[in-house]
Order: sequence, then structure tokens, then C-alpha cells
Amino acid sequence: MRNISAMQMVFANRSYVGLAVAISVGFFILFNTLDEYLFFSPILVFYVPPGAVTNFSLSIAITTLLGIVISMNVYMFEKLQVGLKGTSSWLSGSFIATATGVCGCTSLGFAVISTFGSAGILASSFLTNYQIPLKIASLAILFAAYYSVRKNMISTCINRKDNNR
Amino acid sequence: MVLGKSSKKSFAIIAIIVGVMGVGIGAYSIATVGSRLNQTATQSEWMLLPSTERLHPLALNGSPLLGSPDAPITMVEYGDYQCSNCQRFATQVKPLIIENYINSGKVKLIFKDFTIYGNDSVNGAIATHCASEQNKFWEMHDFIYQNQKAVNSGWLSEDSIKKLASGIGLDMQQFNTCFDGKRYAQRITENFNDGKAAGVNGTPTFIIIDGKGQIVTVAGAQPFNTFKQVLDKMLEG
Repeated sequence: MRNISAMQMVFANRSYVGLAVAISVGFFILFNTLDEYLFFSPILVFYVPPGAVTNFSLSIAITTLLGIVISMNVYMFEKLQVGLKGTSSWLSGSFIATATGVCGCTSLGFAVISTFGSAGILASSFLTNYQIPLKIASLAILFAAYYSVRKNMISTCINRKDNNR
Repeated sequence: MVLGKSSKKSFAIIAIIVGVMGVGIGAYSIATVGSRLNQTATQSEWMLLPSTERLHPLALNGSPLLGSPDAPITMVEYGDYQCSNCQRFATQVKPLIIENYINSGKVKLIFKDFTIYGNDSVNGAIATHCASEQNKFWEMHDFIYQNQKAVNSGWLSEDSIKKLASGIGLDMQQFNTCFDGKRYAQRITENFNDGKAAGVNGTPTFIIIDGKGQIVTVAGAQPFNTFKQVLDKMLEG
């Protein structure tokens, strides 16, 4: 019940729906470009290969949650005038999810390897080998951020309601 | 309602972090676009050279060729044996290119090593060149990709590569002499440097050249349909 009311509170306002969609789409493009499912040259192609469904599904879940959590944070800040709680959670969640795309094969991974040498190879190998567990970890962090922001929203609203009586 | 001091502080911190992230993503985008522009300039200069000179750094250092040497289109692949995207190309897309373009004499494929993951990747590359001494380059190439495991987990260590090589029926004494002597290490370094000079900054990268000198670069393990569109357009023109 609390879950629905917190979500309804934020997304009853269409501008927050728009914000959530914009954030999700932005991260969707970023993750899928890094994972090499989305290509812009020589032609625009979006292609998820057969063995990459798990990774792609995790990316979808992460981008959706990022849109929801960030929008809820912005709502709390703007409408409830409450400090941005749980910010570090979604920031670290999004950072981990983005870092998993730094496979050495990609231009970004190659830049990391070229810049940091052996340390870059080590980091890139780790991120490539543990891409799925790291994405699951970032999803868990984002869920924690979601529950944290929801709890804060509800407690803020209850306190204000009590104060107004 | 006025924001508290802590709220303002939180907002300032988040603004800084988001700003840094934005600048990072922006810088990366500019760097990527910049490298593409440089690549185009290099390729334009390249197109002015006669055909053999143009292909010299790509083909004339003994790199293995798949298909007819007379095929009008040359497709140069830069790859690393530990790269999962290269494996995706080798196992899912390359067979379709062979079936539709290489077997019919329209395209020839040249493989160049672009070893980005360190010593184990170099071992894999040396092993394929040693196998080519016994005319088994492509068997070894495909076999390594089929048996690919986690990056730098030891599956391409010197011992492992020898075990792997024995799986394709090589004369192991000849192979070991070549491999232990690091006979092709110099060529692998040259291939890497050629790739960098041609603007390669990730694997797999494909430089596709038609008979008229038109060059198209395909970066990443793109689906067969992308290659089909590029190759069909080159064959039509």
C-alpha cells in the first residue's frame, strides 16, 4: 500500500513521468552503446545477440529503476523540500552499472588500458569477467535506494500531516 | 519553505557529482568523435595512394587471408583472442560472411592481431601464426574463439595454449619450437601499431576496402545485416 502511494504521489505529476522516462532512456542509450548492442555507424543498428539476453535484461531493470529513483529524489527535494537522501546509493548503483560496460574491447576500455597499462588491463579484465554479478549488485543497490527514498517520503508526509492537525 | 543548511549542502554535493559525470561523459563523447574525425582524415589520405601501397600495412606483412586474393573487396579485421565481442563475430557473423561473400569470391578477409589484454592475448596470436606454418591458421583461430574463457584466467597461458593447439592435429614439436621461440612476436607488435595508425581503438574493428579505394570502418561486433548492407553497396557501386 505504502509502495503504491509513494509512486502515485510522484508520478501523478506528468513532469516527473517525463523526467523518469528521459533519465531511463539516457542511461539505456549509454549502457547499450557501451555493451555494443547499439551502434550509430556506419548505420544505426540496435541488436541484442542471443547470448546477451541476461545482461540486456539487467540493463533494462537498472535503467528503469534509475529513472524511478532519481525522479523520486528530485520530487522529495522539490516538493517536500527534503535533502537528497539515498543519493549516494543511486549514484554508486549507476556508477557500477556504467563501469561494467568498460570492456577492454570497446574504445572506452581501450582508452583505460592505454592510459593505465597493467592496472588498466586488470581493471578491465575484472569488469568484463564479472559484468553480470556487478550489474546484479548495482540493481540491489538501486532497490535499496528505492526503499530508502520511499520510506523517507512516507515518513515526511506522515510527520507533516500530524503537524498540520 | 526555505531549505535547511544540510539540504543545501546535499544539493551542492549532488550538483557537483552530476556535473563531474556530465563532463566525463561529454569528454568521452568528444574524444570518440575526435578520434573518428582523425580516422577519416587518415583514411582520406590513404585513399589517394595506389592500391598496393594502401594495402601494404594491412596485408603485406604475411597476415593470413581467407578467400580469393582476387576478390574485389578486402575486409581487414582487427581482433583479440580474449575479446568476447570478437568471439561473437567469429562464431555468429563470420560464418554468414564466408557463406555469402567469401565463398563466392566477392570478399577476402584478412585477420590482424590487435592484442589489448596483455601477454595471454599475445600467446593466442603467436599460436595462430605458428599454426599457419602448418597451414592451419584459420583452424587455430576458430578453435581458440570456440574455447574462449574468462579474460586473463589462464586459458591462454603458455601451457594451456599448447594443450589447445594439440586439439587441432598440429605437429606439436614444430609448433612448440615456433611458439617457445616467440617467432611471430614482432609481427604481432607491427599489427598492433598498424591498427593504431589506422585509427583502431577497440576490437573487433573492420576496415572494408573496395576495388576503387572506398573505405568503410565498422567498429564492434555488429550484426550480419550491417556487413551485408556495406558489402552490397560496395559491390553495386
